[in-house]
Amino acid sequence: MPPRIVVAGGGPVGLTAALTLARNGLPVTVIEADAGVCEGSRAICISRRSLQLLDRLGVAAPFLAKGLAWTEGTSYLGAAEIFHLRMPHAPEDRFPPFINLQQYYAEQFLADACAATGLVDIRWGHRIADVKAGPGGAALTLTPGDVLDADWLIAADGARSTVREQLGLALEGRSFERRYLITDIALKCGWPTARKVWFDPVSNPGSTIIMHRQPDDVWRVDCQLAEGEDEHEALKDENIRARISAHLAMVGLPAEWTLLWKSVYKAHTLSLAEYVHGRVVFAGDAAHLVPIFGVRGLNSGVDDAHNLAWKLALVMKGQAPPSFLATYTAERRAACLENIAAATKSTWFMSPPSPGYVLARDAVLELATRHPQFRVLIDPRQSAAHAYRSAAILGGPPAGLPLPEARLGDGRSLHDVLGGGFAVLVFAGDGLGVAPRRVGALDYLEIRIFAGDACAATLGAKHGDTFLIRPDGYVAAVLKDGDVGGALRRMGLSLEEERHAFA
Amino acid sequence: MLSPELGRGGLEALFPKLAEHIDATPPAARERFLVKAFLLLADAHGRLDTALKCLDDAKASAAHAGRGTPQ
Repeated sequence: MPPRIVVAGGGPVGLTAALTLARNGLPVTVIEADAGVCEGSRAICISRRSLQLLDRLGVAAPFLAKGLAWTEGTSYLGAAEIFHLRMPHAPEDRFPPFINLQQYYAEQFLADACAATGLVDIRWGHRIADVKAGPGGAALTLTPGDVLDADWLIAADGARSTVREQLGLALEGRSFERRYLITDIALKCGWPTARKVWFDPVSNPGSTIIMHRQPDDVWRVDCQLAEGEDEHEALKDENIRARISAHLAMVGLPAEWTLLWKSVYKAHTLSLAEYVHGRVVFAGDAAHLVPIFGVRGLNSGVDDAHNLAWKLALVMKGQAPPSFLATYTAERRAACLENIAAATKSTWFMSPPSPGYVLARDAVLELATRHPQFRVLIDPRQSAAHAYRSAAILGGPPAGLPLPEARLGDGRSLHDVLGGGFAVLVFAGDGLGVAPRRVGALDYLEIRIFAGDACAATLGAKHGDTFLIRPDGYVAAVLKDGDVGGALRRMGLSLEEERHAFA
Repeated sequence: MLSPELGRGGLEALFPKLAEHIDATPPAARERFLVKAFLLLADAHGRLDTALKCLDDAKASAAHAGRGTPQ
């Protein structure tokens, strides 16, 4: 019987992990408590970095076809514009900085891609009632009744992770008190897709309101609740109607709209100290919670899932020892702490945690109307890729950074020829060539690039350089000797003939 | 110690201006006015360490006043 990988949670993080494993030829069982994809828009902003990863998994197309791209945002104090956000977007970028897409679409696209592999069994409507973790894996008791033995369990079961609770693990950090009412409304409106934020709007004095356009004429409207405001009262349809109608009237939007979904959100900056616990590995909100301001929740979860899954695939194939997964915690927990540091600064503005923060925030907002130097403080610091340092990064700049967008000599994007596994860029005196290669048991793609062309210049590569690219698009090493096998061994990988790790 | 740049004359000129601005600001907006003044001054001065020291010194002097009879 083949070793079994079980993923707890069929949200974007769990499904990304499952799809990555399946792309590596490994069967996966996904356990999801809901009967189908989620209700409500939830995490709607998908970053360029996430789109790059989804592209490597061959599933970016439906996201781009359905999602609404955006590059700009505007913040207002009352009715006055105080900050205009412009996200970097270069001609060579294949993807926009962000698309807005309801999470239920993201889950459906990922579930469809998983199903198409024939390797992913998604058990909708199954809850995990009990987890017994041991040195050889984990035994899961499901409701409705079934027992699953997992050689590896990926816990991607969200903020209220059952697996985390069952293992007696606690998140460390802090929670912010102020809450946001979060709604989806159906509204016909010609506004372009952009992030719009109103501080202290006349419609809802003292509050902060965020609006995002989504596909299907659905708008996300988030309203900060007053300190001490009763959450149950705020969630009553008539109170939501009054709050949102006042705002739509203030900004001159149609009065005809329908409430589709509602929830309440509170910001947290919490993380597990370690993401790998024996054969149980945590990802996404099960591993950490970051504030939504800056859209790092889903996007960091997708990065977690991909980072973990390609490494676990190597372990499953016997090409890396289980200890290689320590690089997952090293890279993704460091990313989480960076996310928390950046998102905390955004949260000071979006959900000030004390009267002192409110006073300082309001002072800055008022100054920003006349003093442009204060406007940078209103920048929401949107999610970006992280620089990694771990045993899976060998050094030599730009090692540890994601490969930037670059065009090859024939006009194609470098990323379009990279494939989904390891790749090696050889900067040589001859022209472009792409060929599969094998070192020991490990397959990779060799891409020869003319050292004098624009692609080499973009990457800062010199004639004779060899770039080792990881399956997540990160530069693992810049090799002067071209010894790919030696570099992979130094990363801790085994190049012995492929064998099953648990055979 | 008086700042050599500002000196007694400068601070004496600033004192009534500060008082007049505070008086002219509605009580509910005074805190925010003073925070804005501090942020603008810190930005104009351009030194984070000095701005942070000013905050600490202002807090220390308030704590001293609160202890009662000066020694």
